[in-house]
Amino acid sequence: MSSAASDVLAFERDTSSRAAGGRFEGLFQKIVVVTSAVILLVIVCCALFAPWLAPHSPNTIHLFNPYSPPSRGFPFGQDSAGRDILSRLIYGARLSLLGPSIVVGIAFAVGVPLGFLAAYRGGFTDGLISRVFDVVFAFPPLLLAVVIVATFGASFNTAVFAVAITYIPLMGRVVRSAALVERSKTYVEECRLQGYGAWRILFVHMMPNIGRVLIGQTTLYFAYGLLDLSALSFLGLGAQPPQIDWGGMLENANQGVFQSATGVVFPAVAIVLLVVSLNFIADWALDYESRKAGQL
Amino acid sequence: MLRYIVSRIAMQFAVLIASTIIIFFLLHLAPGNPATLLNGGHPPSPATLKYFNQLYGFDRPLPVQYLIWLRHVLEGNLGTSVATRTSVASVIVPRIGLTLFLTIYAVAIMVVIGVPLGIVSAVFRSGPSDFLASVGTLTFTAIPTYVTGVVMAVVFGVELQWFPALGGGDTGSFLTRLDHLTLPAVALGLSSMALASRITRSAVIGELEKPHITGARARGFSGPRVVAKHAVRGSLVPVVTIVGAQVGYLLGGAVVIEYAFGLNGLGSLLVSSVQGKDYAVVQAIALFITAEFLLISLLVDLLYGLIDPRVRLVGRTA
Repeated sequence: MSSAASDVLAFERDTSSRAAGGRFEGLFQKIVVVTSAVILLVIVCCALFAPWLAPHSPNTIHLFNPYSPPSRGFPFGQDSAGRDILSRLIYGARLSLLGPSIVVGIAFAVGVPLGFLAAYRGGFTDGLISRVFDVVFAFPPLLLAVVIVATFGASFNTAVFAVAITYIPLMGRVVRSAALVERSKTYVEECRLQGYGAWRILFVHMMPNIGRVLIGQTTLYFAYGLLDLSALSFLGLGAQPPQIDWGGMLENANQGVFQSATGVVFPAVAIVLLVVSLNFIADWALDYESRKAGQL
Repeated sequence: MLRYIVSRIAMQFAVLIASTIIIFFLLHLAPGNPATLLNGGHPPSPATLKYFNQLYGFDRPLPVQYLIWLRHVLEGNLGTSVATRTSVASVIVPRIGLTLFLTIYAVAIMVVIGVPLGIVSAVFRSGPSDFLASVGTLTFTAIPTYVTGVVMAVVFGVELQWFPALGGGDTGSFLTRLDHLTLPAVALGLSSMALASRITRSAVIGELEKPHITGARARGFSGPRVVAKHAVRGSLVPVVTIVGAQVGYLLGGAVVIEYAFGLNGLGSLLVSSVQGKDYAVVQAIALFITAEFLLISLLVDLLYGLIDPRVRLVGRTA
């Protein structure tokens, strides 16, 4: 899902911001971006300070009141085993943020050097790396992750690894095309004449110029990574109990949807809020870049 | 054009071969030996081991094993399901229909609703609608299918009871099936529809500002005709790209949706096979969906050639 959506969003950014004179600008954009940043901050704080913020222990079972509606002691209600949904949401923020962080970390650490190498060396190296990327793209995104999980067994670690594999070529391709543009500029030529090595040119000279695009894409991939990891958890192929993440909570609530429909709402809203906020922040970062490019 | 078709087919075929190699070798990357994995995670008895070795040549070099496996696959022999103790093909084939129905239904929703919506919003664009369109699509594309699925099942299936919340209407007529699969298909197709309409919108807007549109208007063609015959045609390439890419996403998303709605399709079988360590079934479904995906990519590539004559010339000098 991620690959297609982000590619096309990137394409769309090119055409529409020029054609329609920017999509949403000024005050609207500021409000949306600031709100997104606040939501992100709140979720990060939940993850960091979970033991102090959570009113109950997230795994304490109250078998006598499953599916209790929201009450004074349990503001978001209780799940199938009577556990406090609010506390589980707060603790769930930890894995829900940690998973995608590792995914983009791996994608960044492997994808950036590969993409850069492909653009910088060109020729055979480029062909080889690009073909390897193509093979990974040959699988529908979630499918490859599911097959990898099938191979190594369902766990949080496997799920993160499996999703990371599918994000390496995405990251690599973005870096490759950004670096291709930069490579033809005079300052890179100048650096080469000075006799600087490839990695020095990349990290010291090209990175500041493609940095913002990278940050925007990384934010976007973080959001998509969260969606994919939550999907795996939802299928029971991600984090296993007693580990808590929002995808797993959604799955648990979905099993009991005929007893209590409200349990579904909270993890769903948490996932969507986080992803939408990340999308707006990424959009803002990338949009800024294209506006700047437009002015030059 | 022929040259373009042949080169695209060769390309997709090479990728297909590469992906079968990956699917095959993943079995060998797994902890434990492949015979154990195919035996449902239990160490095989000497007799079973002998059977596997005879069938797949696990005692022979890897490349040979791959070729043996590939031959079995081409002959339609996908192995034996550990769960049902019948051939994998007999487990999979009855479920293909539902998955295809669901996917095509979702694609239809995306194309039939999303694309016209994009065209209309491009023609009637203005400040506030522009803002709504971008915030709306960014939000919709961010809502994952499993959330849409669960929420829709609760609202329309359980609370309002407009549509059945569970099951695929497997035994019923076409209409029963349509009724049962409407909720899942909408849940699956909704975010793709939003994305498709957004892409269509900006492609048509971009096209409307080109000189040939001004030219057409200057020659006195009516507004609708300019949009339908000139602007839409010129903006088809990105639209086809997004539709093609989203079909791949829908194939993966169908796995989640089938699981969420309890449908007896390939996707839910894939999930239960992964949970039950029925590796032969996992392998077969992965192969099937990947082949399906590559076939669609090929069709999209060929469509490009039809829409945009310049594409056919790629790779040709002068």
